[in-house]
Amino acid sequence: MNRKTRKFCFLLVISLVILVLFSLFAILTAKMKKNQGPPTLRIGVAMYSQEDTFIRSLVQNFEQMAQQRESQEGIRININLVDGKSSQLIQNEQIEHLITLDYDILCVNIVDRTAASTLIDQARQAEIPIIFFNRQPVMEDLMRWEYAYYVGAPAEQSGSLQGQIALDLWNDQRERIDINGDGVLQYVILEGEPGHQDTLIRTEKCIQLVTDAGVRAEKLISDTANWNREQAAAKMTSWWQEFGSQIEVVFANNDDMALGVLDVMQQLQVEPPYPVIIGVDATSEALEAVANGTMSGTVLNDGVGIAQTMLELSLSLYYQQDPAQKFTIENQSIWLPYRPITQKEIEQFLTQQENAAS
Amino acid sequence: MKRKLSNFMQLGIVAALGISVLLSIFIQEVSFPTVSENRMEISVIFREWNSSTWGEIRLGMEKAASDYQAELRFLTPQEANSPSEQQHLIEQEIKNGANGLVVIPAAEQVLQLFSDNKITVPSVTIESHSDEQIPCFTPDSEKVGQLLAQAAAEDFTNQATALLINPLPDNTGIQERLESVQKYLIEDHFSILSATSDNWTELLPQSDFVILPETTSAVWLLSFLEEEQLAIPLYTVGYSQEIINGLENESIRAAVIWNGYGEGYLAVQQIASKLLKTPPPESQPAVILVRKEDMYEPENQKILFPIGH
Repeated sequence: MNRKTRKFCFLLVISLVILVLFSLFAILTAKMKKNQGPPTLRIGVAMYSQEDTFIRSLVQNFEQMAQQRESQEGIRININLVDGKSSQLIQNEQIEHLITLDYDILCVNIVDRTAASTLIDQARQAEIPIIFFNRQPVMEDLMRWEYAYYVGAPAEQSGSLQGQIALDLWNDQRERIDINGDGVLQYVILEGEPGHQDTLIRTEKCIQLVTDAGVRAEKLISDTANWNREQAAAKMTSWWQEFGSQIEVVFANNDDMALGVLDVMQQLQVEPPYPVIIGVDATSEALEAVANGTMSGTVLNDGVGIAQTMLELSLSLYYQQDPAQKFTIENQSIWLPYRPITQKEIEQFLTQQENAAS
Repeated sequence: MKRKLSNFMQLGIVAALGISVLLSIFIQEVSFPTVSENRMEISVIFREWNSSTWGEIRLGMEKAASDYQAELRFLTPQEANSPSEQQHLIEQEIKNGANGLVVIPAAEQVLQLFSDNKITVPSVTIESHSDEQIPCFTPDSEKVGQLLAQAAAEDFTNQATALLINPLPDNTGIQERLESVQKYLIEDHFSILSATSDNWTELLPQSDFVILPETTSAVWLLSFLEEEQLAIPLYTVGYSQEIINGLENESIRAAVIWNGYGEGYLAVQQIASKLLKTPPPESQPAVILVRKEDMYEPENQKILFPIGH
């Protein structure tokens, strides 16, 4: 190797090393600039339907709580909401998309409770913890992966509590409720989605509690209104034409449908007192109706509690802490109890809510 | 000696090349961003949150975010319409590295941030204009006011008294709409009473109709009128379910509506275009005056009863 060649090689090597080091420095600087600010927890939230008042308010609570927790935790919490429009196919695509976007946690209000296994398998493959809420997946599916959880309330309790409200009124105000005085409680049931677990259990339990207590009951009619206020109003309009004031009690699987019944009473200018109308969820509009006596009662599905628990669970999983230290977990599920709300409890309940908000 | 030096040089070359290879591999690893790092982050700061008022706008924003690979952060002051809280949120988002901002300003004070050049990232406002060159996606306030005043003038003679309510006196967008209403009512020689949220109940009995060009407050006023069983016609703006119900039962005589979904989409698209250096959108939401009898016109139905975006 002559002197010229040696010199050329030496310069080449030096230039190469400088070039590589410079590029490395530039890239690292850009990367640090990009990563300025606190770390970000990214949560994908999939709703079965944005039309559902209870779910909408639950998710709204979740977002507000997350915003408040950001400053406490010193992190950013980015929430991406997607609406499944009551289609499991749409929701599957949305979850797949959230997984490709590399979200840290998935919160899923599943459309079809029997379809959870695919979602859990996808989440497991991507190593993204998945939290189901309010619509309980099949237990065997949930147990497929240790990072799959459920947060919600036990469905059978809500049905029984509706029954308890009706039973208490029957015992306390028999003359008002037993309109035809035959000693038999005539009722109708507005059911949620056909085949949905909450629909089946609430429909069965609400009347079971009444009959188990020795009250004779007669079902005039029942039908599905898909959790929907307008559909419930349409059903009730035709039932009222058919049965009129024979209807003594209306059990609705949720508050939106109960409010649909109330809409009909008002549209048809039925003179109060209306039949006993009992819903589930304790939405703000239903609480208002209970307070003014147009609805007889509702059962609190603790949307605020569910939102709070989902957020805490998400944070625990993000920080790789054991959620069992914070929650009582039974079969990977965290249960929040239902609570009956009638005119007797409404004032106390509203005061509690106001205090909690302030 | 010469041979030793030559061997040493060869060894040096091999070592340097080896290091270069290793560094190149390392560079590759750090230089390719993760999926989440690659997405632009846009913070959307509302002045208050009410899903029936803002839900459509948000859906439009989410669609644009999905189309442009952006991630949205939706933030709302804990106290509705609090300018100081909103200012804090804006500053915090910029500090934390937001790539863009969409702001629905609560008051003039928030717009001042734009005028003072404190906003260092691409931004857009909705509802209220900033004086500076910040794009704003909102229906034309002048036109909104004109349509509301014309609707009232069709229903009442100028012997009638109009009550103009401004629920948010510091909000420039709402203020501009009301100024326009007032201008056209004065041209038609109507008597006008002006009120804020503090004194409108006192003035209500003296008025024949009410004009309130802000959706959330109008919904509140509707329920108040219903509770008090007062049949005073209302003229307002918006396309929420409560406004639709009001049009249906004629407690609202007329409402100015526009495509909120499009408004939200355009706002996010504007920022995404700026960040991606592509041509920005230029259209603005068009306004339509709707009464009960023309609620079901095809064009109005698209806004009042949107089916699955």
